[in-house]
Amino acid sequence: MKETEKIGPLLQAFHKECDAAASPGEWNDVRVKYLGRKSVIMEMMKLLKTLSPEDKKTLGKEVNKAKAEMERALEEKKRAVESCKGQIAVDWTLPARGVLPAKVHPLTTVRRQMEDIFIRMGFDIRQGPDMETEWHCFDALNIPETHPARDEQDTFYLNREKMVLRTHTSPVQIRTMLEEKPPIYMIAPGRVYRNDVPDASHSPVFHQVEALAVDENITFGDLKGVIYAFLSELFGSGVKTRFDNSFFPFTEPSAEVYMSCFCGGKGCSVCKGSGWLEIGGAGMVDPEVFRAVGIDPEKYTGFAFGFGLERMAMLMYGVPDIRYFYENDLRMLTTM
Amino acid sequence: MKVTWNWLNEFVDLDGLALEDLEHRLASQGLHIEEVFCPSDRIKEVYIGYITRVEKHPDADRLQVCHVDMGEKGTLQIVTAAPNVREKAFVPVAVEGAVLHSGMVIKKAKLRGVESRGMFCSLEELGLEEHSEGIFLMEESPEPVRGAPALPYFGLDDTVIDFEITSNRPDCLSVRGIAREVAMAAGRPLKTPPLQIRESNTAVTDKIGVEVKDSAKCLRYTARVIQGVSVKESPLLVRCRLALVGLRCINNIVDATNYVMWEYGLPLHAFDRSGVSGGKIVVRKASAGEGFDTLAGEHLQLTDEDLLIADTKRGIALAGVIGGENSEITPETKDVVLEAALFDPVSIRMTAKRHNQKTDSSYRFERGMDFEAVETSSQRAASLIALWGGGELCRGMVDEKSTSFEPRRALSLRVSQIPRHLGISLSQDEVSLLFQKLDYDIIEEREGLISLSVPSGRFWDISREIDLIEEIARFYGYDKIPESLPLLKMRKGKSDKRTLFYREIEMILLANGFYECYLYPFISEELMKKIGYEPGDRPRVVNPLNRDMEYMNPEPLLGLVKAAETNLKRGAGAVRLYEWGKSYPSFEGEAETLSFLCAGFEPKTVYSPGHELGYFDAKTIIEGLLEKAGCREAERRESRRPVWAPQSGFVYMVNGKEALEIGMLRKDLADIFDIRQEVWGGYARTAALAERFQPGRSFVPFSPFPPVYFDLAFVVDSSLPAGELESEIVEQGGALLEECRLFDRYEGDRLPSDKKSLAFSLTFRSQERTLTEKEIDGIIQKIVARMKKVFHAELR
Repeated sequence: MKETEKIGPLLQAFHKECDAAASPGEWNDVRVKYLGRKSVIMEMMKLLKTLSPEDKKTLGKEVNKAKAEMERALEEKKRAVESCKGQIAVDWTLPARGVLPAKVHPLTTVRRQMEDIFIRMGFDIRQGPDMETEWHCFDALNIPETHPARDEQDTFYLNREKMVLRTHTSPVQIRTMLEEKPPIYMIAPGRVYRNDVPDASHSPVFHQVEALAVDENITFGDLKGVIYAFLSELFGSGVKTRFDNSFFPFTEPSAEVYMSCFCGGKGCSVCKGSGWLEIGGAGMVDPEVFRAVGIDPEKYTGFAFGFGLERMAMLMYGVPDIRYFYENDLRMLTTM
Repeated sequence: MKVTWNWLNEFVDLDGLALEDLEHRLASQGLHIEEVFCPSDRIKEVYIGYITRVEKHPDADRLQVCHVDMGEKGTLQIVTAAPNVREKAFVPVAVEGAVLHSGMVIKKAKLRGVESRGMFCSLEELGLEEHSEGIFLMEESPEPVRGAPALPYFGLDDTVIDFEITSNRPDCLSVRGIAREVAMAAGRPLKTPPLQIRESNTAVTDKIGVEVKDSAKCLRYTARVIQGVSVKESPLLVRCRLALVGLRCINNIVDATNYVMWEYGLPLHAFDRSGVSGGKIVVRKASAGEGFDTLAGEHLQLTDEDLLIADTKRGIALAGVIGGENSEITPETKDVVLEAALFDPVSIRMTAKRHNQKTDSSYRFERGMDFEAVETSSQRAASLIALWGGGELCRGMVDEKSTSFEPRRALSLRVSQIPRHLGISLSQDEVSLLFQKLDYDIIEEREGLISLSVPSGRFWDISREIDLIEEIARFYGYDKIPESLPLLKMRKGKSDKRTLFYREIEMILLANGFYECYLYPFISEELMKKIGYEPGDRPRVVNPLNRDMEYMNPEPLLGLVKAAETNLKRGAGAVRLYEWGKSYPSFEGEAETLSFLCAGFEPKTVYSPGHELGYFDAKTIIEGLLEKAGCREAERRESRRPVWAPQSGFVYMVNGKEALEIGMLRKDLADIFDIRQEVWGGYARTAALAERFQPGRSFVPFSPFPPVYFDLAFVVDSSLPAGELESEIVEQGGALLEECRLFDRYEGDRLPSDKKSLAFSLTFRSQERTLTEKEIDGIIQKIVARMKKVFHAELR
C-alpha cells in the first residue's frame, strides 16, 4: 500500500530533525511539523476514516506505532533541550550578593578557645580594672616596695598616688579572693601593661589569661594536671609539658611552664632549636598572699598560673611579630 | 650573670662533662641559660708571630713593613700603621682568612704598593677592650710558641655562659654559687680553692679602726689593710677573664675586688687609706642634708635614713652603693683599706632608689648577701691585691658583727606538709638526706618533724617552711611529680547574661562587615587638646614610652580612626572597624566601651552600584544594638561629646545613663589622620545595655488573613524629619496598619527647592477578617487629611 510505504522515510526524516533540535523553539517546530494538526501523521489519521476496514486496520496500526515512537522521542528530547536551557541562562561564576560576615580579632578567637576549655573544667571568669592600686598589683601579691622583684615589673605609673597600670592579671586573684570564699576556681583574661620597648616579641600592651584555684587539698600535681589537661585540649593530646623551677613572689614553689614544640622536639626556628616553647609562669599560691586576703593557709592551698594570649596566638596561628596584633591591618584581619 | 667554663671548673670538677648535659638539669633547678658564647666561634685564624725585621715603607711615612716569623707556618710580610710596632716582639697575627671579634675578615692586600698578608691584633680586635691604643705586644717570658694559636694566650679558649638569675637567688650571683648548683646537677662535690694568705707582722688594728654605730643596717663590717701597693694594670689573664664576663677593668686593686665579687658574690670596696681621716672607719647614719660626692662625680644630699661609711670627719662611701671621690683608689695610692661587709638589703635598696644610684653593688646587696662570705671574700681579695700590687698585707682583720643577727636561720619542716603541697610522699630519711646534701645542718629530728639550719648564703630566700618545700620539689624534680586533677565540688551554675549579650551584639557587627581591632588605650596630650579636652588631672602615665602613649584614652574612637588611617593609606577602599575596649575619662570612670566606625567607599559590584559608607551604616549598628538590648524606645538627645561634628552626634539614654552614641567625626579631627571621607562612628556602654538585655523571647500572635498594600507619597518641607511623618502615619493608621516603610526620599528639579518627597509603603492586615478596599480607603483619607493639617503635606 502506498500510504504505509511513506511511514518509513517519514520516521527517518523525523529522527534526523528531532536529534538536531538544540533549543525548546526548534524542538517545538519539530513537534508541530510531525505531530501538529497539519502534519503527515494527522493527515493519515483523517484518511483512515475513508479506508476499508482491512486497510484501516493495517494502516492504523502503522500510523499509531509511528506516532507513539515520535511522541516518545520528543518527550526524551524535551528533557535534554530544557536542561540545556538551564546551563545557558545562569552563570555560576558570578559572585554572591553582599559581604561575607566579618571576623573577630585573632586574639579574641584564642581567648575564647581558652575560656571555653577552662569554663568546661569548672572555672569562672573574673575581671578587674586596668588602672589598679599598687596594693592589689604588688603588695598583696608579696611584692613589697622593699623587694627588688618590684622593679622587675617594668611598671607604668599613673599620676595618682599608688596607682599603676596593672603589670599582670594577678590583681584579679586578689580581688576575687577578697570577695569570695574558697573553693575558688577562676580565670581572669585581660589587658596588661609593661614599660617595654616594642619589638617582634614585646608589646607595651598585651594580654594574659590568669588562672587561680583555691581549695582544700590542691597540690602541685593538680597544677601540672590542669595545665596538661588545658594544653592537650588546645594543642592535642600529643603535647608534652615541662616545668622548671623559677621565682614569682606570689607563688611558692614557682615554675616556668614549657610545652613541646610543634617540630616534635627536633628543634626549629620557633623553639630556637630547644624543642620546647616557654608559655607561662605557674606555682602554688604563696602563704603570704593568702594572709593578705584573709584565707587560712593551714586550711587551704591553691595554684595559680598565667599564659600570654599573644604568645599563644603567635604559636597557634604562626604570627611572626606581636606588633601585627595591634596594627589592625585589614589584610591580616580579613585573611586570618 | 656571666661565668666562664674554666672559672666554674675552679669550683667544681667539670672534667668529662659537657654544657649540653647540664643545661636541662640546671634549668629544672631554676638556673636558666640565656646565652652561650665561645670566643673561638667568632675569632678565627689568629696565631702567635715573632717580628724579625721592621722596615720603612718605601712610599708612606706612617706605614712600616714587617717580616714575621710564624714558626711552622713560615714567614709573612705584614704592613702596619701601629706606632708601637718593634722588632723582636711577639704579637697576635690575624692571617689571611682570619675573622676578628667585630666580624671583620682579613684579606691579602696591597698597601701603597707593598703586599701585606695579615694584620697584627690589639685587645680591641680580640674583643677584650673597648678601645686599644696600638697593637698588643706579648710577654717574652715564658717565650710564646711561634705559629701557635693565639686565643689560649688570652684565655679565650673558654666558653662564656650567661645565666638568668631570679631575684630570690642572690647566692647565684657568684661563680661559686653557680658552681654549687652545677655540683648538685652533676652529682659532684663543690671544690674550695685553697686561699693562700701571707700576712706581715704589722697588726691591722694599728692601721685602721672600725666603729659600727648602726648594727641594724650594718650586720657585719670587716677591714683589712694592704700597704705599699703599686697601682697598675692587672695581669693579662685577669683582665681577659673580667672582659669575658662583662666587667670593665680599672686597675689591679679595683679589679681584685671585682674579681672576688664575681667569685663569691659579695661587693667589696677598696679605699685609699690616705683618704680615711683619723685612720678610723665609722659606720653610721648620715645626718639629714649631709653632702656626699660619689666617685662618679655626683653630689648627693643624704637623709638620716641613709647608711654612710665615714671616717672621723666625713663620709667616704655610701654604704653598699657607691664609693666616695675623697677616698678613691688612684695611681698614687700606696696603702689600701679593704672593706668586706654585709648591709641590710632593704636599707641599701631604699638608699639606692632615693638617690637614683643603682649600681652593681646595690643590685647585689638589695637581694641579700652571704654573711659567711664576708670573711672569705676579704681574705681572697686581700691576698690578690698583695699579689698583683706587690704590697704587704697587714696581720688580721678588723671584724665588727651585729650581736643580734643569726646568719644560720633555724626552721622546722613538718614532713606531712610535703604531700599536702606537692602531692608526693617522701620518707623522712629521704628529706633529711636531701637537705644535708644542700649544706643544711640538721638540728633535731622527731617523728614527722625536722629542725634544720639554713646555709648562710640562702638566708634571705629560705625563711619559711614553704621555702623548704620548694627546695624539696626543686631537687626532687618538678617533672617527676605526677599529674592529678583537683576533686572539684560541683557548684551552683550561674548563667552569664553579659556574655550572651556581647555575642548577640558581635553578630550584628560581624554580619554588617565590621572587623574587630585591638588598640593601645593611650592618646597624646596634643590630640587630647585638639579634641577639646583639658588634660588636667585625667589619668596619665608618668613614665610613658613616648608622647603618643602618655594619657589614658577617653575617646577609643580616635584609636579606631588611627587604624582606619593605616588601612586607607595601605589601599583599603572601605573600612568598618570595632573594638571592645575601655574608655578612661577619669580615674573613677574606667568603663567598658564598644567603639565602631566606618569610612571610605564600598566599591561598585555586579549587583550594586557602590556607595559611600556613612550614616546608614553606622545607624544599622545602633538600631541593632537598641533592638538587642530591648530599648527601641530609648530617649535620643543631642550629644555634647566634642569628637562629633556640630549637630551630628546623638546619644540614647537607657536607665538614665548615656548608653549609645552615634555621630560624624569632626572634619578637623579626620584631617589629622589624612582622612578626606566622612567618618561615622559610635559608642556603646555595654554594661548599661547588658542590664536591659533579656535573653528570653516572647510569642506574638500573627494573623492568618491576607494583607492589603497601599503606597503614599507626600511633598513636605525639606527640614521635616521623616520620622515625624512616619510616627503620625502610624498613629493614624491604627490597629490595622501592620507596617509603614519609608521607601523613597526625593529632593530635586521636579520639586520646589525647599520641598522634598517622602514615599511610604503601608501594609494593612486584620487579625479577624479579610480587609476590604473600602475599609482601607477610609483610613487613607484620614491619614492624608491629618498630614495636610499637621505638616502641610501634599499628596504627590
